[in-house]
Amino acid sequence: MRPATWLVPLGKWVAQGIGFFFVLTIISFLIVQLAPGDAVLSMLRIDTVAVTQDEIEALRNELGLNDPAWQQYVRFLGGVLQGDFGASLMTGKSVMGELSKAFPYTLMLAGATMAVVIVITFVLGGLAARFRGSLVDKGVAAFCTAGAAVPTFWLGLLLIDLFAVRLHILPSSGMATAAGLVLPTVALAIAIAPPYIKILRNSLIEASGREFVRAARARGVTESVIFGKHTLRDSLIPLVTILGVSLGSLLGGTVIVEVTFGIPGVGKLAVEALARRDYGVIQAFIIVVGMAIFVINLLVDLSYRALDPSISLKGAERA
Amino acid sequence: MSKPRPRLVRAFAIVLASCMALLVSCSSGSGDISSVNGGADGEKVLRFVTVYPPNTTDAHLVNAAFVLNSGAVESLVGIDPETLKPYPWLAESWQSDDAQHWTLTIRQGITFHNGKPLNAEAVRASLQHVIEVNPGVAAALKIQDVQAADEYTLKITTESVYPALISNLIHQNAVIVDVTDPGELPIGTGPFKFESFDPNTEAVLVRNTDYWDGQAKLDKVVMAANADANARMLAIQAGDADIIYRPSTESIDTLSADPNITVESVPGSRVYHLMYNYSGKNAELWNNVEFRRGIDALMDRQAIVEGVMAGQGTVAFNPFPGNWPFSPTPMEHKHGTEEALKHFQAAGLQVTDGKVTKDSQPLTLKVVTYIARPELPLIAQLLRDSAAKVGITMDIQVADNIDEYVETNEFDVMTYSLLTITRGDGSFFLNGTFGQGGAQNHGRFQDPTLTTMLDAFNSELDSDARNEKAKEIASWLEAEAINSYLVVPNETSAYSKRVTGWQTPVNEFEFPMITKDIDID
Repeated sequence: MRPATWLVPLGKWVAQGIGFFFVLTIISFLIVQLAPGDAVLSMLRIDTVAVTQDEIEALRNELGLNDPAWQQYVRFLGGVLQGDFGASLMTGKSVMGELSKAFPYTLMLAGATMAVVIVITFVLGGLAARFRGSLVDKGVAAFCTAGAAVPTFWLGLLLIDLFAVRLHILPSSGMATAAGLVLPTVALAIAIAPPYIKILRNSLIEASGREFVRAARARGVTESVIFGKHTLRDSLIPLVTILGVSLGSLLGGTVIVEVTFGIPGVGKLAVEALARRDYGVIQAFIIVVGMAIFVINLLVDLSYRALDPSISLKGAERA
Repeated sequence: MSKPRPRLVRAFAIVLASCMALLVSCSSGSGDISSVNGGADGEKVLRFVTVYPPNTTDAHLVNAAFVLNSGAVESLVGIDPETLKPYPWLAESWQSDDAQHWTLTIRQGITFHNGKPLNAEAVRASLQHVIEVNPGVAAALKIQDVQAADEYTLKITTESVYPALISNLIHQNAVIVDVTDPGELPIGTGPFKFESFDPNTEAVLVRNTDYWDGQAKLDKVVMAANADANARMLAIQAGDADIIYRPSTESIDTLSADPNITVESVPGSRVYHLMYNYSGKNAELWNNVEFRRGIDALMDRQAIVEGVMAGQGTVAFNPFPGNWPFSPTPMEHKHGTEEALKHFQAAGLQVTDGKVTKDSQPLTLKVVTYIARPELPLIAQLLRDSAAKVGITMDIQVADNIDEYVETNEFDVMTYSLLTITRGDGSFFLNGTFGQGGAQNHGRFQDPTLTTMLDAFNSELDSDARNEKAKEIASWLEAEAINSYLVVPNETSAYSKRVTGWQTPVNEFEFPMITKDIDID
């Protein structure tokens, strides 16, 4: 029964998605409830305006911040279900509008980083596996150790110093042109790539020793075909798993790089919102990024089925 | 594994070459930035990087002073950066007999950037808008009613007698913009107008050729913000910026050594101080003036300036240090262990072998500090070290958000930073810190003498008399050691030697940093 084969996992994913969404709304709501302070002091410009405690409380009442928690949650959930996270307390503009303006920058950075990571991983991982035990392998291992050890912000500053300050070939910050994407992408990619390189190298070495590879070689199949059709494919599953997870975490994890390079992405937006206690933005950030990570993991799950048909078959058997 | 084949090496070389080509093609994109930097066709273009990024293009809501700093907008009242005296800006004059009913005459012959005339109705609409959308400005202005009496006469009624109105019209969000304009860009009256403005990246401003007060020397300004001090320093070193505001203290020597860069420092308008808790578990101690004087005597202010601030500051003894119209003459202050012990003894504490005890028990106090201003934790450490010499233990607590932490009331003394000399008037500091229910009165200090003096200050309309009253209050605070005012951190900027006409402001909140007088070679 083929429809049942697909409907059951689809139903599971939808149920998981809905459940995860509600968990996210509760978490994001509780985080804000438990966090100290609110945006009222910022809104009243307490740094430059002499306000009284009475004025602070009056504004809290007006914004409903003193209402019981359940009332605030119901109000919050009602808005979220309509895709309305309210207005940013600091800008007066739609929270979703603020996020949608910032998301392209982070997506660009995350996408470019993943592309560079994939290139570096395949080139260096492939070379290390191919020249196992050689100077090349050791060189790649040294690169991995250095990349994993160097703090991203420090690497970012070094890159700025070299390419912007000394060589004047790339801008020191901002993304006014595509050139602005180069240094943050390189900084992030160098920090992120090492585990993938290691995983691919080890997987390739492991796969190259498997029986089906030896059998193919014995049949006289060329090395490039063995690599493309057998070794590489067999090595991709662990890599795709970790790459998928990383893409999700990259969406929320580019904060330091975004701040260092002045990139107006969601990470920077969230940090600024935290500093200003603009909790609507923070709640939307948690839910949107959380759901994005859920969808990415779902796609990773689907990609297993494409890479390894036995997973689909097992699922079908269980169904 | 088998030996590598030339084809794999070739493939690797192709990938590398592609990456290099991508890098080169991207870097050629930076040529656009260079052309903006240098200016096409002899255009005079200045790139300015300030600290705090704007959160919106709305001049009435923006959290940083980015829009005011840009030189695109103006207020009814300005403030002279050298004397800190308010001056007529878009308002030609103002008058009030009772400090509650005000008449302002709007300057004639001025147009907004969109060509609409500036008149009393446009100003009324702008003020009405800002007090509706910005509760902070509403609290600052306390406007009950605002009306356009005729083409150029504006009538304002405040909620009560409020001589501080004129000073508060200088607030960064109280700028006058055309609120009827449907666009996203702030439409002001300044010497520059926004050509584009993306709060996430940068603003591009061009000369307003119809400016009412003469032509700007620059053709274009590209203005951005970066809260990372390292990034700002690298921007000016890389030539991506012509002026940066507030380089970090650590970078000043490096930048000063650069033959192409000028570093400028001026005393700022905030004061780092110790705020005492008059209502905590050790309230009895802090309400004892001799104990406060003893703590004050432990603080070596010059050591803070030299050791903590690398010389980028000046000592302070009261909240209004300097030579401003409301700055009192500082009193004589002795510091040191011996001096402190004298005061502790006078406070009724026991002093044995140079160590202080209370009821035969050693004293332990809690100092709360925060890292948003990196010098403050170091000042807390100096206090702890000095107190240890007289046997007082100071436990340091570092708070993420000091304003929220102090609501717990679980501290004895806090290191704090406040703007004290604000908008040419002491009203913000005095009322916020010592007024009835003042939100910055974290130590919950109350004193009838101070309340009486503050009431007199708040009802004084004459600016000279008002300054005298502010001086009296500051002197009283100093004499009574109500909190310990320590140092004024400098405000700094670094700019290319090609730039002329730049003036480092005493704070980022009150001044148009980009002015018509700035020029670049």
